[in-house]
Formats: sequence, C-alpha cells, structure tokens
Amino acid sequence: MNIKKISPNTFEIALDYKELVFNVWDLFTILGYSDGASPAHLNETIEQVLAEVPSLCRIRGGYSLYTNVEWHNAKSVRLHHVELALGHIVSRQLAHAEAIAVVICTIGAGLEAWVQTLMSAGDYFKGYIADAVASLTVDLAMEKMQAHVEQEQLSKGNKISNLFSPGYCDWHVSQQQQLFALLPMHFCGVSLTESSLMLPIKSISGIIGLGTDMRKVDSTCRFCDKINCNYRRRLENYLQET
Amino acid sequence: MNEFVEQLAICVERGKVNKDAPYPPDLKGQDGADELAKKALDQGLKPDTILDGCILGMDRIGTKFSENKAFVPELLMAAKAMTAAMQHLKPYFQSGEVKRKGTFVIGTVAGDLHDIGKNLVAMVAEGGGFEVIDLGNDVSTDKFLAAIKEHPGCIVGMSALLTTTMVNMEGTIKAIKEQYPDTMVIIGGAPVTQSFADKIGADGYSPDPQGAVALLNKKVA
Ligand code: B1M
Repeated sequence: MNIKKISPNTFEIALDYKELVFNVWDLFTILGYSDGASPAHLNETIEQVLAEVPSLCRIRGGYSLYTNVEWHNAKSVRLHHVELALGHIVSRQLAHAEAIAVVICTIGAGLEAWVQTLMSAGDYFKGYIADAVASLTVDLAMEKMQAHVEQEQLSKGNKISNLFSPGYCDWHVSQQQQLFALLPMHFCGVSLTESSLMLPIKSISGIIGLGTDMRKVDSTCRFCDKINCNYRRRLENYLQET
Repeated sequence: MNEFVEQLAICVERGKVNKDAPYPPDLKGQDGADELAKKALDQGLKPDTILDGCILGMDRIGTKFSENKAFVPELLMAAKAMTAAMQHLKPYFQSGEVKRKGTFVIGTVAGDLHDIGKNLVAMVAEGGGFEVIDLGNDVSTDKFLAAIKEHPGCIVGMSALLTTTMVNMEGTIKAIKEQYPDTMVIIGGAPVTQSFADKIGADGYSPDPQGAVALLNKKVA
C-alpha cells in the first residue's frame, strides 16, 4: 500500500492486487452458487480470468477528511459548505461522528475493457465471470481502504463507522454530485457523469464516520432493503463462518 | 421429430454447444446443439423444428433461473448453445421460410452504461423466438424512435441499473407513446419496480429475463 498526502486533508492510496485476499468462495456466492454446486467448468474459467486480472487492474483509492461536521437536520449534514442529504438511516449511524472521511476506490478501466472485448467476441460466459471478478475486486479494495482508515483512527483513539454509499439506504444516488464536490477533480482517475454514474464503472464511493463514539456493524446489508441479492448472501456466509 | 426437438432442447438447456465442448461433462463426446441442428437440416427436418428445440431449451433454463435453481453462468451457456443451433437458421430467416414471433428492440437507457442485465434479457428473448435488435448502452430517445421506425410493430425493452438513469425511461416512453402509441414498452433493471413502471406509463415490468419474454409472448399471442 502506497499512501501519498496530496493536500493537508486528502490522501491517495495505491494498492497492489496481490494485497487483496481473494476468496474464490466469495465469487461462487456472488455468481449464485452459495452451496458450492457450480457448473463443472466454472473453476477452470475462474482460473483463466484470475490469471489476467493482476495486469488489468490499477487499484487506486483515497479520502478527504472533514473535521467540521455540522448537522443541518436529522437527515442531512454539511461538510465544508456542501450539504449531504444522507437520509434518516445513514444520519442515525453518523450522528455522533466527530469527523467524516469521504472515500472513493476504483480498479481502473482495464478489466472493464477486457470484459467488453470478451462480450463483443461472443464469449459471454468468460465475460460475465470477469465482470463479477472485477466487482469483487473493487469491493475487496474498498475494504482495504476502510481498514487503512480504521488503523489510522485507532492510533488517534478513534473508531470508525461502516462505509455508507450514495444509492444505498435512503441516500439517493444523485447525491454523488455533492460527494464528488468534496473530493479533488478526477480524484484517483474517477469522474462522475451528469447522471451520477462513476467512470470507470468498477468504482465505489462513500463516507465513513470517525470519532470516539462510532460503531461498525457486521454488515450494512441490514440497512438495505434488497433481499434477493447475492452480495448479501456473500456477507451472510462470511458472518456464519466467523 | 419430437425426439429431435427434445434432444436439441436438452443441449440448449444444459449448454452443450458442440461435440468438442467438454461441458457439461456427462455429455462429453456427444453431439451438441451445433451438430444436431446441422444434421436435422441435412435429414430434411423442417427448419422450424430447430427453433422449437431452442425455444423449449431456453424456456426450461429461463424458468429454472427465475426459480433460483440456475444462475447467470448457466443461462449464458444455454444462450451460447442456442446461438450455435440458430446460426444454421440464418438463411431461412432471411428467406422468410422461418418466421420469428416478433421483433424486440432493447437498449440500456440514456446516461447508463451497464449492459450485462440487458444482454441477458436480449439473449433469452432471442432464445424465446424473437428477433432482437440490441441498441447497446446509453441509448437516446431518438435512437429508440429511429429503431421503431425501422422495425414497425416491434416491442421495446429498456434497462437501467441506477435510480438516476432509470428516470430517463420516462421521457423516452413519453416520446414513443406520442409518435407510436401502439408500441409496447417493457422495462427492467435492479432499481426498477412495478410501481415505477406504472407511474411512467410502461406497458410491462419484469424483474428477470424470463418474465420479460412472458410479456413479449403475451403481446404476440
Ligand atoms: C426490458 O425488460 C427488462 C427485464 C428485466 C431486466 C432488464 C430489462 N434489465 C435487467 N433485467 C433483469 O434481468 C437481469 C438478469 O436477472 C438483471 O439485470 P441486472 O443488471 O440487475 O443484473 C446483472 C445481471 C447482475 N447484477 C449486477 O451486476 C449488479 C449487482 C449489484 C450487487 C451491484 C454491483 C455488483 C456493483 N455495484 Co452497485 N450493485 C448493485 C447491485 C445489487 C443487486 N443485487 O442487483 C446496485 C445496482 N448498485 C447500486 C449502487 C447505488 C451503486 N453501485 C455501485 C458500484 C458497484 C460495484 C462497482 C461494486 C459493482 C459493479 C457494478 C456493475 N454492474 O458493474 C456504485 C455505482 C457505480 C458507478 N460506476 O457509478 C453505487 C452508486 C454505490 C456507490 N455509491 O459507490 C444500487 C443501485 C440502486 C440505486 N439506488 O440506484 C444497487 C441496486 C444496490 C442496492 N442495494 O441498492 C435484472 O435486473
């Protein structure tokens, strides 16, 4: 992990793919096979895909820290003149935050481009597996970023909340515009379209609450109303194992 | 003939593309959808029977998918096997000897670049016997209108993955209904719901590809 301070409150992190702990069972679960009963040649294709991934990923992430947390009302907070309409669920979790880290993470556009190439050539099967690997990779990378923020905060006697992202709970995706206003332009190579889509696609954004009274729950899925979701199943499996 | 339809349906459902394909292991070394379709035509079976086999196979895997008994990878393998069989039908489609059930124009709405869900719906619709015109991603209203003009009587499908992009469906549907009031429009994608579909004037919504094909079938029935 390579950390660069690019301004007094902003840090950029470069991660090597090898630093991620990739569990193939996670992949089975997000593909739907939580019981392990997957088609016979899935393993083979996963191996082929995983062999390509390291050279196609460029994992970058980072965060800006905001220490002036002004609650506008029970569902929105103001950070440096930018109002984030977080909604009730997220606001409740962050009510006691003394500072907030605005975070993004991406694996770049390389893997996405390869998926497109596979799909255009008619290899939908491999393309789909590669797409799922890409989604999982950016998730794992974001987990690493969170772990880094947590370490930093622990050393200051603070704790952290979960990561909360626009588009989840009752925080609307259009709020990505406000979130991006709190980060440097094209931070980590990620841009935002008018329709609030991040490019590269395999990117995640969000905020983390910091402070002595912060709490991280096992899974933010409990705040989400999407029940039939393989990502939820992945977390449930993980929680059962630990 | 029924035996052939059943054999081809099994190959499609199980994703057995051709003889060389090692998948699924229990069918290793046996003819796949490709060889079966070719042999059927060589033996003088009507080309329609190939379409029937594909539709039956795709319907079975689609139903399993809707019931969470099969997942996207299996659906994709089935689509691959179906394509292998259907390629033998190309000349018959062109000559009009084999007719599809209808034309389905599909695209991911303006402002959105997600296409995996849309591709899956397109494949299952093709396997369901429809000619599919895939307009790709970030499809503007004008592009949808141009496609409807080019394919009179087509059914339109739209997909979106974010709430910020699904709202673009409303304007496109309005424009379609103004110019082509009889055109059926169906929508889907992770954030889309039946109530949203009702609100914006879509004619149908489905959470999965199989449901989308059921809507198409209802329209052409
Ligand atoms: C015409 O008729 C029809 C009929 C049926 C139709 C149809 C048309 N089109 C589709 N269907 C249907 O058939 C297909 C097959 O079953 C289905 O198509 P789908 O496209 O839905 O399904 C694909 C085949 C597989 N599904 C997927 O690939 C999406 C899975 C979920 C878990 C998901 C993933 C994996 C990801 N994501 Co995110 N992600 C979620 C998804 C939650 C979920 N369980 O759906 C969703 C889509 N994401 C969401 C969000 C908010 C976000 N994501 C983000 C990021 C990511 C990852 C990068 C981690 C990853 C990859 C995304 C990608 N597609 O490349 C962010 C946006 C990224 C960006 N570039 O802007 C971010 C904005 C979060 C953030 N702030 O960082 C939510 C969108 C809802 C909303 N509020 O807008 C979301 C529904 C999760 C949720 N619980 O709310 C059906 O919808």
